[in-house]
Amino acid sequence: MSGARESGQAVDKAMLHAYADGQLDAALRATVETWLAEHPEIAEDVQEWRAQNEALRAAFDPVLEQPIPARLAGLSERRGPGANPWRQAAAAIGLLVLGGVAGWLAPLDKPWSETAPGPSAFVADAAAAYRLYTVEVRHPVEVGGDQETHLVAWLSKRLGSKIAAPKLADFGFHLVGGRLLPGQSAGGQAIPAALLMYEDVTGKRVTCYVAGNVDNHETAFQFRQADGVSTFFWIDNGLGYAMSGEIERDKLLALAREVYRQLEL
Amino acid sequence: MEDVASRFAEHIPALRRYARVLTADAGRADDLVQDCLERALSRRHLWRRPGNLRGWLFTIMHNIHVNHIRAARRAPIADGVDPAELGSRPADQLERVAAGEVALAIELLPYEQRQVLGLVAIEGMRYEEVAALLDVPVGTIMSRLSRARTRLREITRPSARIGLWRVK
Repeated sequence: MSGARESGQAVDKAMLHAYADGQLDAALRATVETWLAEHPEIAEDVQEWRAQNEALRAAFDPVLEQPIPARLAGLSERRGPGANPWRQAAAAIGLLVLGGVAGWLAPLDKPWSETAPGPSAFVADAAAAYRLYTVEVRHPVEVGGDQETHLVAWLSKRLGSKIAAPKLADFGFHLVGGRLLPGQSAGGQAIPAALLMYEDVTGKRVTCYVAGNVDNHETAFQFRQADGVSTFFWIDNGLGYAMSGEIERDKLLALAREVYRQLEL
Repeated sequence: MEDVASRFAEHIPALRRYARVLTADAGRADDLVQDCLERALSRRHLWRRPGNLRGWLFTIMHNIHVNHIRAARRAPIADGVDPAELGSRPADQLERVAAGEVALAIELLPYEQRQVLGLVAIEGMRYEEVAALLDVPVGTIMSRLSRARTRLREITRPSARIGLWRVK
């Protein structure tokens, strides 16, 4: 760095890091290279730093190639004219977003308040419930789908909001049943959440998680994936809904849209 | 007149990449980017050009993330590894991070070291820019960077020799 610019000057540790990070000019680079040639042990370390850099970039650079989620692209591309490389991707994704386009086009004020439980916690709960209960063979649900009327009445009462068990038979899924779960807490008290489980003929299961008091703002569909579990979620009338499964994204989206459509009626 | 917001888009990929370094979870990373873009939009009248738009956006995201961590009343950042930031990889899996799995190892670094390594090694920022962004002296950046690299090596190569440095 600057103190090291005289000829024959010492190479210090900061210079070695700057060398590894490609932040030296040609003259200093040459100085460091000469010095490293005489200090092979340290040259090995510097080589390892460069290898670390490369490994980190190799690990994280793929994020750059991923399509930008509509909720992010929408915060930039819709203002300002002119060609925009993300406009097309955003438009394509936008087609997947169902009716509530306003959900992601409108929110210049924050869609989630900073203090209320955000969607992350809610979605994590939904995915956790999916993981925990879909693997259960004997007790996947508390109340079976054969008692649907009772199930729906019970869960509606506990949630304090009328919910229904959407019919997904057209998509090959039938209702296994449901259960009550503790959702995010408010003021130290867990708010009830409901889990509805569906299964197809192959035994593939998906869940619909419904929790109250997620946020007052409505949103359109958003997608999350963690540890192989995909979730489409949305918020409507203060209730958060999350469809989770380990099925193709398009299929899960179709199920989520159907659930949304039926609950709207 | 051009709206600076129309230039946010070109920085979104890098913001998402760095958010992934910070949170180790794709969904939470995008939440962070979203918060960042919203705050930047609401404050775009404060943006002065010509300036470093990337640096401005990264600074906003950094501040939001630090606030999130504080608001969540997690362990103070300076205490090092923040378990909540490790996502689904608890520290007891540390030994299972095999040699070469540097990407997993960075999630096990103390927060401040992870930040600096992410900005320098992955985002390719100059030390001075990182110092300005995190609002600490360059010397602090250098020592965090140095510790991060040593720690990364300890994690990925537990048998690696330590305490080699003889140079000043």
